[in-house]
Amino acid sequence: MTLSKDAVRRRPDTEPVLSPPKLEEKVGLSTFYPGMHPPDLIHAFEGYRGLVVSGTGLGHTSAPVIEALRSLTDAGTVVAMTSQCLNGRVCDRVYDTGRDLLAAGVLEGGDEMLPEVAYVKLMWVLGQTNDTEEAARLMTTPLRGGEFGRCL
Amino acid sequence: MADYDYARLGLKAGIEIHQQLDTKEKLFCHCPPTVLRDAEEHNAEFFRYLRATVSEMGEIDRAAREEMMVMRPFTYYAYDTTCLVENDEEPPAPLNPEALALSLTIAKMMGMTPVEQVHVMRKLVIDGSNTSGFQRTGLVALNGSLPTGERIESICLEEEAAQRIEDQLFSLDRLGIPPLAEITTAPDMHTPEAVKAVASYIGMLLRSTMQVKRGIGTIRQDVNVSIAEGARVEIKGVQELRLIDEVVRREVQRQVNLLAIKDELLSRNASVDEDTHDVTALFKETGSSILKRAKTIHAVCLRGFNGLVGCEIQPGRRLGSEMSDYAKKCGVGGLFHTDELPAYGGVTEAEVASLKQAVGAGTDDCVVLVADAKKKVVCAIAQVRRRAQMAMDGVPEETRKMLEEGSSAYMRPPLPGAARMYPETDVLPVPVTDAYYDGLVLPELLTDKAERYVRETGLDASLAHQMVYSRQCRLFDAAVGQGVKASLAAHTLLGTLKELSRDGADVAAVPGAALVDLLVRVETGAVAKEAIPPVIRALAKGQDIDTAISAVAPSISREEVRAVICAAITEREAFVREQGMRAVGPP
Repeated sequence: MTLSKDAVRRRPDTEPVLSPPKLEEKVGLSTFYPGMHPPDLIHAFEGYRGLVVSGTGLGHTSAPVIEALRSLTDAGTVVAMTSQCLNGRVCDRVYDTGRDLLAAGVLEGGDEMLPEVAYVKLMWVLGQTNDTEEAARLMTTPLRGGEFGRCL
Repeated sequence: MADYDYARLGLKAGIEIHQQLDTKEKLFCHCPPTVLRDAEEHNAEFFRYLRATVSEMGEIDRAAREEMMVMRPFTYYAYDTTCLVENDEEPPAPLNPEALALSLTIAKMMGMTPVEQVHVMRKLVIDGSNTSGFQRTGLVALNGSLPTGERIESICLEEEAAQRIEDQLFSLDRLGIPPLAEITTAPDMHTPEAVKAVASYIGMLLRSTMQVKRGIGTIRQDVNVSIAEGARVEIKGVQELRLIDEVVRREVQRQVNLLAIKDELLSRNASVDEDTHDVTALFKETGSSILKRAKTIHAVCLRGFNGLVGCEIQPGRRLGSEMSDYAKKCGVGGLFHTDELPAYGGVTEAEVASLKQAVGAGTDDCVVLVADAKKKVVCAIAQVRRRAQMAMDGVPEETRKMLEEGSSAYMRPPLPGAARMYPETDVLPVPVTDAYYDGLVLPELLTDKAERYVRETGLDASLAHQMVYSRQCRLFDAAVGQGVKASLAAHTLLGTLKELSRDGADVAAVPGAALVDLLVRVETGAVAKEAIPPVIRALAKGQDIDTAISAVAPSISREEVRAVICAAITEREAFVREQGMRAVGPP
């Protein structure tokens, strides 16, 4: 497959760095695995302002973990779902598991972002705002990419 | 063509309008819907087999079953302007909010009631035009009406299908979907002219939004036609408004003629033979290359059909063409029948006579032949038999496709049933609140806008009409807004541009802002009116406006003009003295 010039985005030299680079430190990153204990997850990230979960496939976890994530979002933690897959995108609208995650307040945040990228973005986002809804909006909006959400 | 008494025939017609919307993204992914690509530019290609699956209601759709009679792989071209959603390798993105707002605006213009939630459905389409085997569609609003009283039943938002490059090959640039608004009227039209009037009014309404695509292929009409004794027939793919009334006229003609054929068949006590005859051996030495080459030739005798199979039912179409359309579904190229033999294709009189003898056909009968591989031939003969049976019942309900000039050919069985639709579970329903619908701002209708131009700017009525329908309307508004006289703006944007483009100038390359700028400079006197065409020509070559103006029409001071005139008078002094005031003016 060949990529056209337009399809590959490079940062123009003139583009300024977003400032101020204030980052929220109470943000976690966790990989879901089969057999993960929900209480461990809650225990580890209780009181965190943000958590990026690296889920399976389209961005999934087991049903008990969904409940754990719900208790975190209820307590005000912004939870963004990403995927352990290297390519493709998170879509929590295809299977019930995904829809249950959305209903539990989890964001389809990692659209085309690797978990590590989503982690840094969430740190930045929570460094800019205290408002959960605004944080959700920023997480699901492309801030540094031109075209968004296309897998070629 | 005979002019029919449509009221007496009980003509009922309705239309379905498919309009491509000019949105920034496709309906279910973030790809640009604007870029139509040259097939040469594809950067990936893949193939799919499409199978009809049993719907959630436990049935297989009739139309889908027919498409599956021949199972073939479909090939698709992908581009860097398409993504995995078009390939059906990735779930769809949420419904494009811009397309939804636009279709709701159109709905509001027709006084429709929006649905409370837009639920996207999958409509089974396995002719290859969708990689997924279904087309996504969502009902947006219901029950509207036009000022002339015709009812609008519904408006849906739909993905556009992939473009067929050839037979089994499709291009994905269009698939997925410049979003499409599908507007369906009730069967409230009773003359061909009324159909045209309604189609053209809805077309005007759509264009008034200034957010629909333009040009051939961006709007398509499907026409539903029936007469009292006939049947409901849907004709797909009418791309040109000027043909829509002709399509209705010809369909009425077809139904009237099919009914006449039915009466004739019944009076002749016609029937269709149950048995098929293998007549391959009869044509071993024939002069017809198609028949000679064929592995298998089968024949069926249609008792009492003589002369009727070759009977014209519509310009360029016979009952035989209808049978041929049915047979083609089995993959054969067509058929022969004795109404057009031996005149056709190198078959002799003697061969026809021995054929008739072999199947036991009398003078009142017609024999239909199909030549191809055995499996296809058996399938095709069964189809011919089926269509011949239908002729004795009159007009079959069908979905047809328009041919050039307004006749039509059989495409598939009628308007498939409920088994064709099932919910798209990958797209969440979108609520439409009252507050949202009430807040939508309606655009000014083009007809109102033309009247306003006449009233406010004194523009001539026919120019105003041309202007509002033109792609340049926005530039006109911008120029007039900056003080340019309406007539100057209209003549330049409509007349001058067209003339220049006819002379080979690439006027499409001229930025709109530069045109407006030029008009403003002419209006304020900085540039002479006569310089407009050469300046635009220079702009078309990519020059910026200042360079273009100084190259073509450098501005000149009063003193310089005075000097030029003085020099001319001095040089021609005798002539001026002799002619007096007559010396002024063209030679």
